[in-house]
Amino acid sequence: MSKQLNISQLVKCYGNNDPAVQGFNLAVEEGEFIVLVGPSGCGKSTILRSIAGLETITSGSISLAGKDVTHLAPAKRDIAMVFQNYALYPHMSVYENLAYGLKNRGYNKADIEQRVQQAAAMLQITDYLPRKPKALSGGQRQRVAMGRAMVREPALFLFDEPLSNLDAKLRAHMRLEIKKLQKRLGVTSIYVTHDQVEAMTLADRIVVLNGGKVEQIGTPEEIYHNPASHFVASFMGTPAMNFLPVTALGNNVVRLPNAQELHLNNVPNNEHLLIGVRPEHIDLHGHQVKVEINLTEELGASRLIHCQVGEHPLTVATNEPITKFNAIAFNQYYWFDSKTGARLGDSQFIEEEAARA
Amino acid sequence: MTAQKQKLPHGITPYLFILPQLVIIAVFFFWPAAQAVHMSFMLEDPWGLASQFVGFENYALLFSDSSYGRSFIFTLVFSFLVSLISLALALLLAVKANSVLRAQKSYRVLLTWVYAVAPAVAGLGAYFIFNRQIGVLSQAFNDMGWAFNPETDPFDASFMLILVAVWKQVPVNFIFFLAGLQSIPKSLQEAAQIDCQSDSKRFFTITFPLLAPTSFFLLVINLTYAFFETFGLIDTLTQGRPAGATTTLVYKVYQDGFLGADLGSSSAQSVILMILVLVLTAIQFRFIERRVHY
Ligand SMILES: Nc1ncnc2c1ncn2[C@@H]1O[C@H](COP(=O)(O)OP(=O)(O)OP(=O)(O)O)[C@@H](O)[C@H]1O
Ligand SMILES: [Mg+2]
Repeated sequence: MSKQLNISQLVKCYGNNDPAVQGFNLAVEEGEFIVLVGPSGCGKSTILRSIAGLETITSGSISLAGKDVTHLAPAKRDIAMVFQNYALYPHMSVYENLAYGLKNRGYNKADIEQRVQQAAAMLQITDYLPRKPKALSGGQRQRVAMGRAMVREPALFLFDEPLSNLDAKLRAHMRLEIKKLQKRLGVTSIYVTHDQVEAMTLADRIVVLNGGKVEQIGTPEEIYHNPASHFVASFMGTPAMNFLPVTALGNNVVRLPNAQELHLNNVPNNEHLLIGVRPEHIDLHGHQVKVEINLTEELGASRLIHCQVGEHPLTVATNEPITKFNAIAFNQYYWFDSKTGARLGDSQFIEEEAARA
Repeated sequence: MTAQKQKLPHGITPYLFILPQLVIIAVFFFWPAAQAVHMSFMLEDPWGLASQFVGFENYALLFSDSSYGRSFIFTLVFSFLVSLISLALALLLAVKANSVLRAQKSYRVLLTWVYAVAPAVAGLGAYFIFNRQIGVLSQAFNDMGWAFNPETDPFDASFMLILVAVWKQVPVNFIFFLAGLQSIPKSLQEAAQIDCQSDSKRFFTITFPLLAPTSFFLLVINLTYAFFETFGLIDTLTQGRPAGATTTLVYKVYQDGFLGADLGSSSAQSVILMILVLVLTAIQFRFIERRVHY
């Protein structure tokens, strides 16, 4: 069976600038929820808008539900998009906003009525149908924007940071709603965000982008436990992964920034070696690496302890009621090449570790 | 529109700020208006030495005067056509200029500089272009087999006036329409692009309704322009010829009052004009404005 959405070798240049997207490939299964994540300006919106047909792409091809849509107009693509600022039509009532796309596709009145009512009921916006968008709160507008995408029952949903205009509480709530809704409707979705919590919680698979290129594509677990590069490791996970430059001395021994020598597993042979340790993978009772404590941040259920190894900062996350220690151990760690940013060493080992953890 | 009210503690200062404006309005509007109302009930001898109260006689005379009726109808038709054509043309140009990506600035300059031309100067320019002996356009019309003669043919004269008035008015409308178009969020247009395939349908269901407040405002401006500010054009181009066929109400006020020295009738005409504009504006704001704002 062919994939629901297939993007191959997508390149997009704006004017004569460097390409904003450089050879993007992605194959999406039917019903899959894909999240594009990456820092500002990495080309997330550009990819999404190219799929929607709002940007003409420089080269590459896009096919949706077995049909090549590369050169089709947006309205012909069977996609629906939810915009960051909702983009509701201000001169139309909520009902008309939902009905507009259906009307233009020639649905009859009864059919439109039925679909709008059904979507409105699902989103709990039935009471607001006669209102104009300006008389709605941010969260309600968000629902209407969702409704406008839903009524058409498209082959693909596109979301461009749909929650970033909401406050933190509402955002968490809507995140859950979107997830539930998507599972219930089973519509293939591409979701753009720079919020990694959104990415981790929503995605079936995450695409991590950097500078117009894919860094890694994988499930949230893969991305978290088995990052493909220094960039992915540092971008995903809060608090961020710790990185320490180390020198390999042979025989699986490394020298740490505080001049301490330490025996570790599977040390790769590399000149520019970087060890990465997640704050939550540090054992406060292992007496291996000497640290100095600088500052403790209390987070309620857990606490962050900011320490130093030589000149380098190291953050420890723990929920043990410990605030004083002077040596730690690394439960789990990753190797990177600090020059190229590439992940080094045997990822198999890491996967086993992850499975055990 | 929702009004946001904020109370500031104040004494006499705000009134001092608006005082100059109020004085100007009083001196240049209320006082002459009162004067006109007063004079419209008087009969003055041609030398302005004596005047006598005659009640509504000036008005009665006007309404039985067929040339006034003709002027009335000409003004309405003229204003309607000038407003409609210049609005439609400006909207078309603005939509086109807005969709152009390259050299958009140049188009904007080319389409707006006419605005800076004074009406009398525009009239003079048009006078040469339409001149029967040397005029380029006259020549072209004649070559096409249209014996163009604004001196004797009322249709030709009206055609010429409308053409020049529209040419003069398009830039203002263009600027406002372009600004209106550019204030429509891009994502809104894109959402519509996904929802609606046809460009023209999208224009009439999304873009135009969103421009409605701008269009309404421009309609008021354009009618006022066609009513009053075309005076300079008429004075340089036709002076109401042939035989008063291109005399607008405003031009007739001037002709009867300043050239014909019939101050009573002229004042009565001004008063009627004033009432007409008031009624027109009231209608526009009462019935149209409510519908155009979203
Ligand atoms: N219309 C445009 N013209 C020229 N360059 C553009 C245009 N739109 C985007 N770019 C450039 O393309 C690159 C990718 O932009 P894009 O909007 O896809 O980033 P993004 O990942 O969505 O960022 P953000 O998280 O800030 O929304 C950026 O360097 C941006 O400057
Ligand atoms: Mg973006």
